[in-house]
Amino acid sequence: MAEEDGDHQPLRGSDPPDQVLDTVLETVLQFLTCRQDRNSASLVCQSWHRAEALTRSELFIGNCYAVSPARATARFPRVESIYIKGRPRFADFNLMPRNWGAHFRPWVSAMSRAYPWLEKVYLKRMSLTNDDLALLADSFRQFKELELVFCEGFGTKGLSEIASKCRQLRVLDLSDTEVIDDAMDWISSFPEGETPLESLTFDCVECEINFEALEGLVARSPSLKKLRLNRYVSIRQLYQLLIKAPQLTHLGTGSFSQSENIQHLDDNQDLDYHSAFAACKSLVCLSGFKEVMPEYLPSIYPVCANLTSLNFSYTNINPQQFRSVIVHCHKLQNLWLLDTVCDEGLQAVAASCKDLRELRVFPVHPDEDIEGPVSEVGLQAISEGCRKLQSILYFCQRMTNEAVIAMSRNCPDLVVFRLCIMGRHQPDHVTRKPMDEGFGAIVKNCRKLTRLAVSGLLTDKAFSYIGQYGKLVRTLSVAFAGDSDMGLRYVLEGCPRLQKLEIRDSPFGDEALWAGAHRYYNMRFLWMSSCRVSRLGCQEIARSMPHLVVELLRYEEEDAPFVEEDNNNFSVLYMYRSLEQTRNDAPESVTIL
Amino acid sequence: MSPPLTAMEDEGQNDVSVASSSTVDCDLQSGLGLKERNYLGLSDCSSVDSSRVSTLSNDNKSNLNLKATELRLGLPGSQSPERDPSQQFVSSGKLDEKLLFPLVPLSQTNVVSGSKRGFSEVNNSIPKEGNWMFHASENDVSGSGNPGINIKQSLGPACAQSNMGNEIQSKGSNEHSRVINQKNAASNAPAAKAQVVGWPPIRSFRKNSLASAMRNNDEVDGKPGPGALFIKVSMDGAPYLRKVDLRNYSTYQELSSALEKMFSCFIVGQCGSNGTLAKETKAEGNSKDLLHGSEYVLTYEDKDGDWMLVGDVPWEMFMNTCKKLKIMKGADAIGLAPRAAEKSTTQH
Repeated sequence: MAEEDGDHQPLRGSDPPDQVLDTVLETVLQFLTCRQDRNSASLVCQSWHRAEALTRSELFIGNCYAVSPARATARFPRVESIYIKGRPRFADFNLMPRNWGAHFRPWVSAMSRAYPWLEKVYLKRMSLTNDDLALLADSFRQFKELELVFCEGFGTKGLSEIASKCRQLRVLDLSDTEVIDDAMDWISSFPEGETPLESLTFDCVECEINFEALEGLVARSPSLKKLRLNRYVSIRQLYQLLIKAPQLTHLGTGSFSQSENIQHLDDNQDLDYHSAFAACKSLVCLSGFKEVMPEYLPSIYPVCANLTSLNFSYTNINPQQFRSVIVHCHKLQNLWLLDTVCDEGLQAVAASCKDLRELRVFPVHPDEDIEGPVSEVGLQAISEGCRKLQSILYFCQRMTNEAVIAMSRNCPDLVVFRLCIMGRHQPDHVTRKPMDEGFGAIVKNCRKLTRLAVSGLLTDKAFSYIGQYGKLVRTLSVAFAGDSDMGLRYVLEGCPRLQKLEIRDSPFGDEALWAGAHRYYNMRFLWMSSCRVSRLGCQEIARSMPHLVVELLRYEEEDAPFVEEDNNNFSVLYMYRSLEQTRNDAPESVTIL
Repeated sequence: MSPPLTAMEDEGQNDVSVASSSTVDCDLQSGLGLKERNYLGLSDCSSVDSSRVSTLSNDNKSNLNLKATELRLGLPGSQSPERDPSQQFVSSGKLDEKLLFPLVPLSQTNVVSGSKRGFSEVNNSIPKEGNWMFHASENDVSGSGNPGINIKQSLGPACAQSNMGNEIQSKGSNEHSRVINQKNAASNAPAAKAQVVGWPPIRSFRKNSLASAMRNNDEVDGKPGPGALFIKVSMDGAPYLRKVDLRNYSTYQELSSALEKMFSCFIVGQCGSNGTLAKETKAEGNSKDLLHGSEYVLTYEDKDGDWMLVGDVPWEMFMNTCKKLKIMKGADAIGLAPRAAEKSTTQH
């Protein structure tokens, strides 16, 4: 065993016992993959701490400002893959200034020196530039996987760097990421000859691509399993790709409609899409359909029976069109939908998809007032038909406690329950009572619940339920809810596993903030926007907890004269634990106490 | 449930409010002075700001004025502690932000005052929750936002800066108000067309994508629609091109403002390293409008390959003939048309 590790001497009888122990430890700890286990192991004693640090190859940074790149690279010298998360989730809804931070630059700079063998980078809600991508491409010879989720700041030029220089690239996945159109044909930047590409996801890239180059790329990537096209790829082009890559397991279909730009001689002649899909015997995950022409939907019937994951969340189809697809999908486990399928469509899901684990229903009209096509009827149906449900995200305009309680009873395996009743302070639309009992039932009956998002009219009672029963809850999202500080106090005092708490527009103030002081070092972050906390209260917290970074984000008007720091002039309180001093890359609108 | 969308009963089920809202919005847009604002305050409603601030009749200081202008304030009951609960509504001739962000709980005052029809009046006459007519008539349309789908947003990364999750809200239920009034802290603002940033929590990317998908399906029932009409926009001196979807706009003015936003960082010449706008660029604002009175001229290449000045032909015709857009310096555009020549000479 010891011979495998080049840094250590072969095992000899005269080795001091602690060196032997270190060697053994490292060898054993290599097999420890779960990071929570690793964290625990590192606390045992000095030598375990050292051994664990030397053997950790996958580094997870939940908050890019909690620890500096220097510190991370110093402690863990042999990292091969890194996960970094930047902005908090509410930044996605324009509640944070765009230049708030979460820059990749310091990380890529540090890693270019510390981890020349780095293979994988996964970033979520980070800002990165073309230069950062260029540096990445230049620094890591063995770079294999790049996954960017909810990121922004770079363009097709950066993509081109990655494509051309990372010869061992297996995965290039861009999800919900903004890519600037630098007018650079990045698809053509992939090298000639066979590529090791396994996954290429660019469905969020809002610029045209060189289809011919893409065709060539797909043809010379025999390992390609996942391909997710953007909406500039028409259905005809999809066909041409499918016949070249029937081995695909994950497919994003692009627009799934005819393109009006490309003039084909035989435009009226329809290709045999049905057969093309039928040839994809391994297809298990389907998405795209960004501008779907419903008459083409029947072509996917051949693959429906094998599908475990279907993303129709950009697909505007009516219940009948949807039903004709979903009746074939018996193995479905993940389903994302637009609410245009209506309660009727959800009833069809309940009837066909008995194995469903995750459901997300997005609103085509995120409006607070309209009747809305989905309601408690759909939720009830799902709860009755899909008993194995583990995760649900449901946008609606009206809901009842009864349906939510039913779901809590029918789906005891729920781990994630996110219900967004879009009307603010909207009660149960039948009984006109608050939604307290519904959410209370969820935390009471779903013993495995770790993530909860609440909405509708909620009093402090709802929060007392959460504090009382939500013992495993790690992430809690609250908006326009609660009556008083007690609400927040219930949660902060009652939920020992709480890691991420995001609250907006709720009447929680300084007293509640103080009530949670004992928790904040054990949490990743607390977000409170448009609540009742005052600057003074925040200052008190900041003063008494030196390892807590307390950021106050000010709302800035475009044309207003710059205002001197006003006593309570902030919109967002964002605080997080950190081992570092105050960051120096914050914009003007951010005050760090 | 009765169809709330009485204006559109003959349209497809999927069309819900999009088609009608776009027509309604256009009508209302000129009528209402309200502008949408996002977190960074990217909107051009400085006149609204100043009037709002000045009309604040209250013994409290300027920081409350600013408070009043803060977007976060959506509803009474969700006020921040600094707010003076006794602060009264300012009645004004236009639907200003006060109405959107009332500073008192609903139960205390009649939230809507001034020349706008009182909410309670409308409330009483329209008992049904979510009645479309009510919704439509009180609809605020801001410069670049629409209820629900941001139809008028141009696609492309630049627009994300001006995207917002703003939703226009109107609560129409009497019963609802009663229930709400019982709960002091939970009282909402049925009257106020509160534009709340980031609510409902749908990411801009999704909204934009849905907008284009909706457009596609709306235009022709079931038949292949024309989809988006993307035109490349280049600008002298800018390092890269942008694309705009002409179908997002219905007037030259809209196109112009969108382009201005997109290219403003190049116009002033300052742009952060990650593409964000520096504060100074906004403050200078020396290119208010690409169509009128700036040193830049908006031109387009038509089907015949000729470069023409934007603005001369009706919008529909322009949409059909425009192949490319280019933002030229005034001096370069002299040859295009006499008007262009005059413009550039007056600039210098």
